[in-house]
Amino acid sequence: MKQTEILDELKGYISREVLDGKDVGLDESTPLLEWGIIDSMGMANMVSFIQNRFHVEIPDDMILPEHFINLSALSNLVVSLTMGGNDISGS
Amino acid sequence: MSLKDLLVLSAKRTPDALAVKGPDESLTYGEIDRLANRIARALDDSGVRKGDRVGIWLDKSVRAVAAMQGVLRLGAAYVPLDPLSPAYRVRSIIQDCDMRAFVSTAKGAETTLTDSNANVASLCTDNTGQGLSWDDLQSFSDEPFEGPKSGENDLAFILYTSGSTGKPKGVCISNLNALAFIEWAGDEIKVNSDDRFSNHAPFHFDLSVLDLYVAFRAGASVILIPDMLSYAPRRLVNLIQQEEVTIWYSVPSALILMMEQGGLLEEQTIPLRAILFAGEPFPIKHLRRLYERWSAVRFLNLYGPTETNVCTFYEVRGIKKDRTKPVPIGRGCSGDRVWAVKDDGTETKPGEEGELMVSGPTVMLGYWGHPAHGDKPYPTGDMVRLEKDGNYDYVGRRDHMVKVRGHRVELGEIEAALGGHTDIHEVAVVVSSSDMNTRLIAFIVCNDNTRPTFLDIKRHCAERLPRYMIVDDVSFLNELPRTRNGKVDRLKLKQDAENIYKKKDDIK
Repeated sequence: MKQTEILDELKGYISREVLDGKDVGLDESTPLLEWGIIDSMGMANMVSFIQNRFHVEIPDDMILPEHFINLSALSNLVVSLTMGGNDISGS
Repeated sequence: MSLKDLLVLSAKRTPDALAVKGPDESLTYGEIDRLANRIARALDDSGVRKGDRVGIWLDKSVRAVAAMQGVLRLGAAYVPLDPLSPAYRVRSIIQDCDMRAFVSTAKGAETTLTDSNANVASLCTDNTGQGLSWDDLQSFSDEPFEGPKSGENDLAFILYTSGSTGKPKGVCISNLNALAFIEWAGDEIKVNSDDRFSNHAPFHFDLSVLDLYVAFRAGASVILIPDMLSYAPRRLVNLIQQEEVTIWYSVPSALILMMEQGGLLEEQTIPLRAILFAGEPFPIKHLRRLYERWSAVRFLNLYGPTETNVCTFYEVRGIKKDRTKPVPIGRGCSGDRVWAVKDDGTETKPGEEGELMVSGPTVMLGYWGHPAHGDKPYPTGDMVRLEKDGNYDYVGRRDHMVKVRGHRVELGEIEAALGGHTDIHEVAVVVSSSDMNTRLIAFIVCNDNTRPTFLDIKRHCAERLPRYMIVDDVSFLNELPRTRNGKVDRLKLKQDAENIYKKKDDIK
């Protein structure tokens, strides 16, 4: 899966599950934690979504705010966890 | 006896025992005692005097704890500030309590200390930027610091909480206020020097006062939990195991997250001997599971607004199968008198509801910049019901203050912040709660036809309010509903919000 597709999936999740469709202006640099878009519970739900959707295991020590600050950081995390990033283009 | 003595005395008794362990460093009682002496001398050298206020704007760290102790040794008061708060809010607090000094990182000082507060001395925990650096502390002696005597009614620290008028308000806690409940808690929980306390709450949150000082009083160890771990429930559970934490204290929502996502119920054994919780009602279905899984652990529900410290408690000794409401907040402790009064001013009898009143040694000195509270009873704003067995059950609030994961939120403060948005004509914020979720919803009437986006509103909040006060949803209206006497009909808005979420939750 390409990074742009991963990004779209993650954006779709935030838009649908968190912002309830009110996503005008949401882009890969929107601060997710700083603007209170996701909190500790939201982060736990996001982890579940990523693990199920992308079939990756996020190790406990990778669950850090720095990987969740925005969609760009989050998609980088997913890329780094999937297949060592070998089949990813556009990253 | 004053608050600073708790650590000093333990340092004399057991200098080599672990006092505080943080994410980056650990200090024994002897080491933190000597570091606090250096900090006191450095701040003294910067002109901090007895009664002055010193802000501490730092992430969870051993250095932050040492800074608090250094401030107390000068007879000054520390003001712990939310590390996740925007600089705008921190600046307003610096001005409100006329701070004399500020302990932060160089970056924190740079973004906060502006021309308007150029007279505030700064001590930075890193070694860049202006002001005094951590390395500079080496030039000050670590010998015992004989500061001015602190009286029991002298100010020890100020905790800022949400204010209904739009500005945070500073709750002033004296040595006596803090000591009274710390001594009670230490005795009730029978804390000893072998105990290992977790410190989950941030330092600006009143729950952290108990962790630090009850541990210092007993010569026990405190394991600081960095803020980022609150996002990783599995790591929190691992921390309990690896650090052999014996006493845990947090808001119930943190425990629920650890149960739901961290595997707290699936562990084979746990080192905990006591779980303390406070700040919000613990939904009974979750508490029941936790209690039944770890029945050998003591469970204590502690209650008390920041203004009174912990003033009632309830020890869970079995939960009836048919109980649907949270466990009681219990009965008075800490040498306080607690009672409830009805609207007609008379005291409640068993079965009746009233507002909980508190008087006694733990009740604050007052709000900073306002007249002293004096010996008057403190009306908590919490409605309670007196049960036949003498315990109080929490019923709800009588005003617009709500709790979000244990944090106090005055809806008026959010409304004031949003009201400053150029596109917003009028706004009312309500809360909608379920077992797992507390949502803040803003109902907004815009000027003309310019409607800000939801993300624009989130950003506007984030620049002015702590994270837990950023609204979770917005709904735009042509006008706010009114009651017959012209007030905003909050009840209707709350019902509307709850109906919306009920539908959504049902769909999910």
